[in-house]
Amino acid sequence: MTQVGNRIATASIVNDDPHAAAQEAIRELTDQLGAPPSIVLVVFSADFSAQAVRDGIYRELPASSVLVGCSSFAELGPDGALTHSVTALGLQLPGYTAKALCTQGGTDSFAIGQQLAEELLQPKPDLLLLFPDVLTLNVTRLLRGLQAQLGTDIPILGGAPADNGAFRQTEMICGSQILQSGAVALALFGPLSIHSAACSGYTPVSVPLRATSIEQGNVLLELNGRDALSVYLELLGPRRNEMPAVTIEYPIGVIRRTSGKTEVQTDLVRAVFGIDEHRGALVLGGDIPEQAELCILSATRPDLLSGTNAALQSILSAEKGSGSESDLVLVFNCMSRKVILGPRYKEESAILSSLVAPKIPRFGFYTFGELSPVARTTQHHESTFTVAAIRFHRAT
Amino acid sequence: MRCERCCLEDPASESLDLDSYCRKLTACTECPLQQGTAAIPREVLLSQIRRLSLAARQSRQQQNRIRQLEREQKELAQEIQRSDERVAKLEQTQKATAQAADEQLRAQLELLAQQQASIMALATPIIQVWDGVLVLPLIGQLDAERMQTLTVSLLTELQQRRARFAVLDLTGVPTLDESSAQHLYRVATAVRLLGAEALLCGLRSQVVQTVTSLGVELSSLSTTRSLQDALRRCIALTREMKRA
Repeated sequence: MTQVGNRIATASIVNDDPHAAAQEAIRELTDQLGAPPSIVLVVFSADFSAQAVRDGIYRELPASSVLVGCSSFAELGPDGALTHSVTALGLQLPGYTAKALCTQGGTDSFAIGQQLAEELLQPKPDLLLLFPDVLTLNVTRLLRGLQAQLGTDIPILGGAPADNGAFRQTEMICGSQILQSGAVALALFGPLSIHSAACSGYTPVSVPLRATSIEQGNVLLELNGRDALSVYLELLGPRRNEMPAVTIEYPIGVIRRTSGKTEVQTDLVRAVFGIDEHRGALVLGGDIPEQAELCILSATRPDLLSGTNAALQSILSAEKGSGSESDLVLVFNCMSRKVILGPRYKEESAILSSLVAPKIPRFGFYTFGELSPVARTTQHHESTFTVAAIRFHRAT
Repeated sequence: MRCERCCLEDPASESLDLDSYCRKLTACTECPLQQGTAAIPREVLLSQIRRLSLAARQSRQQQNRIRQLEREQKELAQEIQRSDERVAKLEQTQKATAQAADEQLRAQLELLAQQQASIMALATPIIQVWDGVLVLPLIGQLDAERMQTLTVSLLTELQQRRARFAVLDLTGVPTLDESSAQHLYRVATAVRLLGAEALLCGLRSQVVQTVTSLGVELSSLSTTRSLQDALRRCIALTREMKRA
């Protein structure tokens, strides 16, 4: 049970006018909470201007409120998955403190991560919600930079802001600031517990391939000593004619061999973000280890839905083990899954609704990359459904 | 008409839906609060504000729900269109793949037929070792198909080369079943009908045992121990014929 004092609400407003949608979302949160929220997390359709969303929010909120948000491919709120909406999470957490922070970007993602962490060293946060722009940063390295300073035990959740699938421009909000590159984050200070899970549902459809040459961590130049693009195209067979759009259906998985058994490492699925025809390379959304054994992955719609179900079941069993119900469920889900699921994409949120009690607020969005702990250490995921159930312990 | 209990002051009326509440209120034509003859108490005013706020919120939520449904409908139409396009693309790919597989299979079958013909030709070689003498070195199992090919090839060669002798060398034939033995007998008979003579040589003991146990009549055919003996006999018979 949520202790008296902590109040959490979510609202999703569909409206062609982003200013009005944002304003309405805050009004709805205020009505549910009985007062304006002190912390607001907002995700909004990439069709909307971040400025209009921010202005609409501050029309209803005092300037002292902590606000962080970003554009998304689709939103997840109280009414399930939606597009063309402003979806907001409002928190009133007496006894907790929150801090919004951002970085405008640069070239060295690891250094940017370290720089961001420096603002959080004294004291260290109990939870960090991070929204890094994958179009201007290497998210894997940004995360490593953060963890190098903060340690790996601080849970980091979140997702990479998205646009409408064009991979051109995303937007972020940090208080009154609007960003089109870099990262925004919300740090929460106060006792809380988190159960998280990440599952993709993809399965290998190729033989194991050795990554014999990688550049900058994410540019895959060679597989088994041959140029990576040729190998990838060969394995696609007749579907290579659908390049580059078809890459969304065939991400790359890292193979883990444990005691003679071969399995695809669930915490390392990499989307093919682009191709470099000149160099015959595949540009991945995140880093992969040098000399790693890789394979091409694929999933049917039922496979993806089983992945979603597996992640949620894992959360539920952890919750059952701890004997306490969560106060909030956060979902960061890859946009590629929505594309593959097509008209069935709402089935993912239907699974969520069937497994999570209706009174527990849920919030999230469809991302360009997910951040979620696996075995207590946050990893950068792709093509994955990540979910976290949070319980706030203190009330005043 | 006047309300039995003023609906503005009755806390129970707060549970009424807005429509019922408004109907009850408008029906109360003698209400002093509505007529302005009595002051509206603060509680009544606050209750009305609460009711109006709730109504405004419900209206906002309903409008949002309508917009959500409209959006969902639009999105569903777009998704269906995308799905149709995807299915069409997949069908096209499947068709192309099936066509390519078909062509590949056809080419493989042609190749297989060519290879079979080559194997057959190699399986029934006919060598003219001497003027009028043809030798067929047979190796491996003699099945019906091979025997058929052998018969046709041998009779054709005999006619074309006007050969007098056909030596069937069975040194490389490990076993012979009844059908093959019968076929061999028929080949020899056909050779005779063409005015030539068939000689069997190199019969292994196992082959002889099989032929004997099966009761196939091969004793009427000329046989020799080896190819060398068979060739010697051909030469001798040719000389005899010339002398005669």
